[in-house]
Formats: sequence, C-alpha cells, structure tokens
Amino acid sequence: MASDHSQLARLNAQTLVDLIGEDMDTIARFQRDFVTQAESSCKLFLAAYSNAAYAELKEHAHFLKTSARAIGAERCSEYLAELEDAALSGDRQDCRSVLINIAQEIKALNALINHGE
Amino acid sequence: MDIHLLDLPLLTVNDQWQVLDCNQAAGSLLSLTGKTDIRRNFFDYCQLTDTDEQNRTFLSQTPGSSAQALLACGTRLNLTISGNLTAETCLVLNSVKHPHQSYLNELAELALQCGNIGVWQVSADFEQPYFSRTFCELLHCHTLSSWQDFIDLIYEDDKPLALSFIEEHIQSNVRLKFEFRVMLDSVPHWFELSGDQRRNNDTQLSLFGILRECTQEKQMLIHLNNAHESRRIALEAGKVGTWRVNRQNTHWHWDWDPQTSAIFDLAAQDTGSYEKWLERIHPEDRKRVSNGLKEALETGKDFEHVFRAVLPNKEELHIFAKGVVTDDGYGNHCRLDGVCVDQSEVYRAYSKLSQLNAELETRVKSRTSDLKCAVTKAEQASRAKSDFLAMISHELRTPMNAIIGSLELLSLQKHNPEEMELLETASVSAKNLVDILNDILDINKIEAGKLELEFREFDISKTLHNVLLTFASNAEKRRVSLKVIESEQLPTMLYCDENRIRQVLFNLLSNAIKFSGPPAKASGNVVIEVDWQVQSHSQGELSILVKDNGIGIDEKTQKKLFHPFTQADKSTTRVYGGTGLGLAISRKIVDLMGGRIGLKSKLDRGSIFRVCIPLHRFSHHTAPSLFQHVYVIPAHSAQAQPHLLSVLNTLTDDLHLTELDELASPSVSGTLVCCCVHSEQDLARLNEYKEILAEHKVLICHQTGVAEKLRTILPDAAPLNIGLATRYGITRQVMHLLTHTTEKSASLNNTEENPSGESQTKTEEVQANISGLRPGILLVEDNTFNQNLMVKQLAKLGYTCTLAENGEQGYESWQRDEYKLILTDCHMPVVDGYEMAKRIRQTEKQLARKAIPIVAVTGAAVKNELENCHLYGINDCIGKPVQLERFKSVIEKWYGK
Repeated sequence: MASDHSQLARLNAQTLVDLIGEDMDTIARFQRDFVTQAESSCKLFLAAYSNAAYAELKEHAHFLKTSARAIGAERCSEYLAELEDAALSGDRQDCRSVLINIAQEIKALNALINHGE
Repeated sequence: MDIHLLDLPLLTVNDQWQVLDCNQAAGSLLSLTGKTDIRRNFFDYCQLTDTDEQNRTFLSQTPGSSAQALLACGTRLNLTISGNLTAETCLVLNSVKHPHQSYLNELAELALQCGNIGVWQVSADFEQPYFSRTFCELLHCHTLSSWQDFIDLIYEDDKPLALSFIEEHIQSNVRLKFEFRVMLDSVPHWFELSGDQRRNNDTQLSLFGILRECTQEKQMLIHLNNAHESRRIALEAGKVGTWRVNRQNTHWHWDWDPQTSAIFDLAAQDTGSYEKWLERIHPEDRKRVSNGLKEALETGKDFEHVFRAVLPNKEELHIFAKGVVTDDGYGNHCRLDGVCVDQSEVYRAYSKLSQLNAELETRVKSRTSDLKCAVTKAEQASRAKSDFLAMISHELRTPMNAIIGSLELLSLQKHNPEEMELLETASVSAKNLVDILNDILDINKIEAGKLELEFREFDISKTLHNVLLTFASNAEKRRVSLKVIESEQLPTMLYCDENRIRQVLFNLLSNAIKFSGPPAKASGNVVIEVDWQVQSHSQGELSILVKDNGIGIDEKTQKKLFHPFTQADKSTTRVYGGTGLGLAISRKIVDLMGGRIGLKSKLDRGSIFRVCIPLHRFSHHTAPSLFQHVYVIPAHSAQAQPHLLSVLNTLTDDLHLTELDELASPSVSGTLVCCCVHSEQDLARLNEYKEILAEHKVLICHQTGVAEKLRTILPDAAPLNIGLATRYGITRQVMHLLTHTTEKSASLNNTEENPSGESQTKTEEVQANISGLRPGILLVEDNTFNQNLMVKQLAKLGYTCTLAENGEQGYESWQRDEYKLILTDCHMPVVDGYEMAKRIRQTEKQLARKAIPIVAVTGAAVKNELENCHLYGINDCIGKPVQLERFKSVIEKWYGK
C-alpha cells in the first residue's frame, strides 16, 4: 500500500483561512492543538494496532482525519484515510506501513508547526 | 760637413778665393790633379762670364749668390755659394752640360719643399749624418746631431723592424723603404723613410734618401683595410658571394669573388665562366634564372631569384641572388652587380621548423582532443557521481524515513529505561543520517548549479525565534547558555530565501553548540547577534554573528573549513561526528545570495562566524497598539532589557516602569503587566502579589530554570525566556495572552466545565447577549478539535452554541433546554449521531413537540451519508471541514425552522 502523497501539501495554511478567516493567531493555535491531538491519536493507533482491534483503529483514524482536513494537513489526512481503509479490510501489513507514514508525517508537522522547520 | 762625402761637386775657398779643399766630383770637373792645385786661386781654373756688375755679389761671397764661369776646356759652369755646408765659403759647381740643368735642380729643391719632404744622408757606419731642415721639422726637432738621435725618435715597437730594414738594405742593397711611427705631442705620426746607397769616389758607402709623413695615408689605409676586412668577414660569415657582369662592346663579361666560387664549388680558373656557373644551377631552376638575368640586363629591372644549386658531390643548396643594374649615363645598361647568399642552412632550419610545427600542431590537436575527451569523461564522471549520490541519497532517505517513523511508533509504547535509551539512540542516529543525506543532496545540487533560491517576504525575527526554539532544549541539555541579541533596527520583513537563511543559521548554531559544551568543555556560551546596516534607502545588509567560547579552530584548518568534507581533523569527526558539509553548504548559499561568510577563531578560545547578506527589498511595519497601558516591573536590582522595552513600546500607547506594590487592580481593560524575574527574590515577590497579578494579563520575562515555579505561581501568565527573546517571540507571547483571555469567556459555554443546568443557560444567554451572538444551537461533537473549530466558525457567523460530546449528552441537553438547531457528528462513542436523531424524533413524536432541525456534520462522504441521515430523521448533511459559506447557508436554512 503506502501510497506516495508527496504531491499533496503537508500543511495548507489556506484551508483554515477559508474556514475561519484570517485570524492568524487562532489558526496557529488550531495547528498546535492538532499536533497535540495527533500525538495522542498515534498512541491510540498503536494500541489498537497491537491488539489487532481494527474497528477501533478505523474509528481513531476517522476521528483524527476530520481534524487533519480542517487544518489543511492534506498529506496526513490522506494517510489517515488509507489507515481507515486498511483497518476496515483488516490488512495488518498495510496498517503497519501506513502507521509508519502517519507517525513520520505527524513528526514533520510538529517540527513545522511548533519549531518552524 | 765633410764635402768629400757628397757626390755634389763642392770646393771651399777663402776670402781671397784660394782653393782650400775640393771633393772628388769638383776635382774631376776642374781637372785638379793633386794637392799642388790646392791654395791656387780659384779663378786660375775658370773665368767668370758675366759682367762685373753681375758678379759683384758673387765675388763678395754672398751665400746663395751665383755666377756663370767658363773652364779652359770650354765647359760652362754654374757656380753657387752655399752658406750652410761648411765653415768656409763653399762653392757648388754645376756643369752646364744641358741648358736646363740648373732649372731642374731648382725645381727639385722646390718640389722637395712643396712636398714637405725631408732629405737625409749618412755613411754606412752611421757617422756624419746629414738631415735637412725639413727632415728636422717633420720630426718636430730643431737639430739632429747623430743618426742615433734619429733612431731614438722611432716608436719603440717599430724600432726593431726599422733597424732590420736598414741593416738589410746595407747588406743586400735592396731599395730602402719602410714606415714607422714617431710620437709627436703624444700622438703617433706615421712616416715613410726611403732611400738608396751609393759609393763615393773613395769607395766609401753612404746611404741617402727622403723622409715624408704619411699619417693620413696610413690612417686611410688602416680604415680601408678594416672596412675591407669587415666586409670580407661579413661576406664569408654570411656565405655571401659577390658577382658582376660588365658589358664590353657587345659582349657581357662575367666575374665573381672567391666566396662565390666557394659557394658553387667552382675552381679558380672557372671564375668568370658563365656557362660553368650555370651548370651548377638545378636543371629545374636553370632556365628561370637565366631568363631572369637576361631580362634584368635588357630591361634594367632588379634581378631577384631564389633557386637551387647542385654541387658536384650532389649536395643541394638553396641560393638567394639579387642584382642591381646600372647604366653608363646614356641610358645603356652597362653592368649588373649582385650578391648571392647560401641560404641552405636557413632553408634546412626552416624546413625542420615547418616539420616541427606540423608535428607540434598534430600533437596539440591530439592533446586537445585527448583533453576534451578527458574533460568530457571527467564531466561525465562528475555527473555520474552527482547523479549516483543524489540517487543513493534519495533512495536511502525513503527507507530511513520508514525507520524514523517506526522508531517514533515504537517510542510511543511503554518501555523500560534501557529500551527507551536504545530507541532514542536509534532515533537520533537515523535523524542524523537523514540530515547527512540531505546535506549531500544539497551540496550536489549546489555544485551542479541546480540550487535556486526561492525569494519571498518573511519575518526574520520569526525565523530567528523558531531556530532558537529548536536549539533551546538541545543547548540546555548540553549545558550551553544560548543568548540572542537582536537589533532594534532589524526590518520587519525581508525579501530573500527564508529556508536557506534558516539552513545557514542551523549550521552555524548547531556547530557552535556542538563545540562549546561537553565533551569539549564542561559548559559553554553561544551568542547569536542579528544586526542590520542601512546602506541606502533601497539597500541594507543583514549581518548574523554566531559567537561561541568552544574549542576554536587553528589557522591552518580555518583556510579549508568552507570546503566540502572538511573538518578540523579526523579526531573532530570521531568525537563530534558530522560530515563537514554544513559550512561548505552555508558558504555556497551565502555566495548565491551575493553575501560573504567568514570566521575568526583561536584554539581553545572559541570562534566567531559572521554572515553578511545584502538585501534590496525590506520593509518596516508598525505593529498595531494592542494595549492602552503596559506596566513593566523590572527584576530586583536590575534594569529591564532595552530590546524588551523597545518591542513592548510598539504594542502600547503608554509604557510605564513601576513596582509590584504600586500595581492596582485593572480599572480599564487593555493593560498588560510585564514582570522580569532574575532571582528567587523576584519569584517570592511574584508569589506575594499573585492575586493582584491574576487579575491582569501578565507576561513574565525569566531566565532558564524557573519556568516550572512560575507555572505554579501564575499558571495563566505567559512566560518568556528573556535570553532568547526576539521581537517576534515577545509579540507572540503577548498575542497569546490576548487570545487566551478571549477564549476564556467562550470556554464558559463548555458543558464539561460548566455542567450545571439552567444557570449555565442563563449565563450563556447573558454572555451571548453581551457578546451579541445568537444562541440556540446545540453542537454534538466528540472531537475537541472540531468542537473548537466549529465554535469559532459559529462565532464568526454570529452564533453561540452549547456543546455535547456524544449523542447521549446531546439527547439530554435537547430534553433539558430549548434549541433552534442541532449540529451533530455522525460517528461518536456511546451514542452516535444517527441514534441520537432517532431518539429525538421518537421523543418529539411522543411528546408532540415541534421537530427541531438536525444537521449532520460528517467526516465521511456527504453523498453516501445523506440517504442514511434521512432514514434517521436528520434533515441535512454537510461534510467536514465545513467551509464558512456553506456553514452559513445551511444554518440560515435551518436555524429556527
């Protein structure tokens, strides 16, 4: 599985502007909140994956996906959609592969949002 | 003088004309027989023929006077009295055999005088010499009393030859003639002495002759000889022969010099034989040369030809010949003079040179071709290397990212400390490896000229802030104190490649921290100074200084430090790691920006790296005033940092420096309190005044190490590490305070924080009324993030809402309060949106309540969800995230219906 979504934006800042207007401070706060949420979700993904609780994994993925879309984390939301599909089909290998991509993407988003890298 | 030594007939008389003596010639003329004739009167032998009057002068024995006399035998004599020859009166007898004899003698004497010729005579034993007056005058002598006097005058070098000539003459009677030099007034003069010998009657041998000066002739001759010799040598050396053709009547007569004969290897007897000369010319050139000569002689045009000659030994010569025709003054070409030059050596040298040139050209062509080939190969190799590195780096990065992701996932699980350490090591190593790969890709891109700068407007202060945030924790771990000094003159926005400037900052800071803390030193200091120099209204220079007190760099290494793969030494790599690409990349980036990078460093003392980047676009923005008043409370016995004051001053109308005990409760909104904390004493005072401070928006400027305590004392205050405070960092924290306080009132609506029933609704209404927002929307959403987002969106659209975290809470809230619209997520824990809608519709039916509009806000595809929603009594469905316009139209559609 592990599709290449490099053509998608890691963080499309315009998405939140479209949703709430040019309130840059609030936008920055939403972005930081997302990272916090995503890091928590990752732990949940891992627990569900470890327990082979695929339905649970799908729910967690769906949960985070909506947040990801909201802040314009396009690449991440696509990975989460993939994780939903993989969890739905119960494909452990695919789940693992997508989980790695998601963990890496969230790390990169953290660096970008919180450290300006 | 002894008259007997002379051939001239002479006799001496006394004043009585008595003959005293006579030489052999005179005796013979007067037929004197012996001594008996002596003492007889002279006139006994002859009779004067002139008149007495004429003879008077003569008879008085006046020197030089003369008279005619007649001998008894009828011979006429011419008598002359000489005053110079003897002490007595000396008579020179001259037989008038020929009528012109006297005239001839006179003429000879005149000729000798006119010719400036001296006369001399000496006996063979060099006694009794006679030197005429002219002789003496020529030699600049008054008198010469002996022959030796004369010999002594001869130039020393010429004397032996002169003597040998005279000796030779005496012995072999060879006519005497030689030249010699005499130094006159320190200048050598040439003289010619010539003479002959004769015997007197008494068989005594005497020598006589003349002397004349020949200096001028001699010099001319010497010059002529020199010129001739020079010419001869030049012609010989140049292998130049001369030749000429003269017309004699109707024939042309040929001649040439020995050099020409030598050149053409012609015998001496063949000189002048045109046919013989023509034979020597190469058959292929012969006709051309012959015709050329004919044409020159006929037309008078110069002859100039290069031709080959073949010698009897078959040697081939290359001759250049040139001749000029002259005419006889009547327009007839009478002679042709020319030269011929053997240019065989030149020709051979030229041939060799041409051959060598041809060889060289061939070799150069070959080498150039080889070089081009080598360059092409080198370029190909370099390209291949770059491509390979790029490919490998890219291919390595993909699995490395997977490794990093996996490690990240692993680290989220519970591990014992040892496992955590291993995971961290693996994670850091993997990240370092990716950094190295990125560096390799960068340097390749730069060296291939593919790196392009991406210019855009950015806030340098923000970039600096973010970089410092990244390094802050690393520096703290390494016990390195990190400090920033940002110029107040720094423009708000710069136009450059922000990412590349950040990359340079990263490289410099990471090196400074790496080489300042352990293991190099127990602890260190790193200061980053960002300055701005205005150069003109449209040009400025950004200057970044990174100073550390680390291990430093020796002078030798400094010179090569900016070259790729260069580190201080191998031990540096071993201890500190890294590829040595960072500074090389930084320099290339700065070069591309038209800037410069340099360093000053001393071993064990530290380093200063300076980067200067010229910028042509920049702007200074004035921040909007956010507070009416800002109160700054400096730390105990310390002054507030000027930069902090400067930034805060831009954010307020009034900046006050005050003390905590003077701080009152905020009478007006729009105030900010900034407390500076440097010591425990400052912390204690904060604690003392924390209740008053809690009523304010508080910014606390602290130094590292007190953050935790501050959070305990004033949890709502915004902390600011003063050492790392940039304009952006200060403004950001202040803005955070503003937004945080605003959100505080919104969060009061949160059901979790305010779960009580009516009072909450009242509060909500009051607040809604105060804020002017329309109430009556129930938002059921389990995702806090989405909750916040939609609350913000609703507020922007002029609505406020009540939150529920799942269908269960939503249903209860609907039962309890009056709402005009329910917005619900579909997928939620406990009770999902569908189930909640189903229960509400059932209850409405049972209680005959008016149906409330329910709109599903789903993360799934709306198209698929809509049908499902209708089944559960949900009126409408919109997808997440909801665009503001879409949200507005849906709410306007359903709100209050």
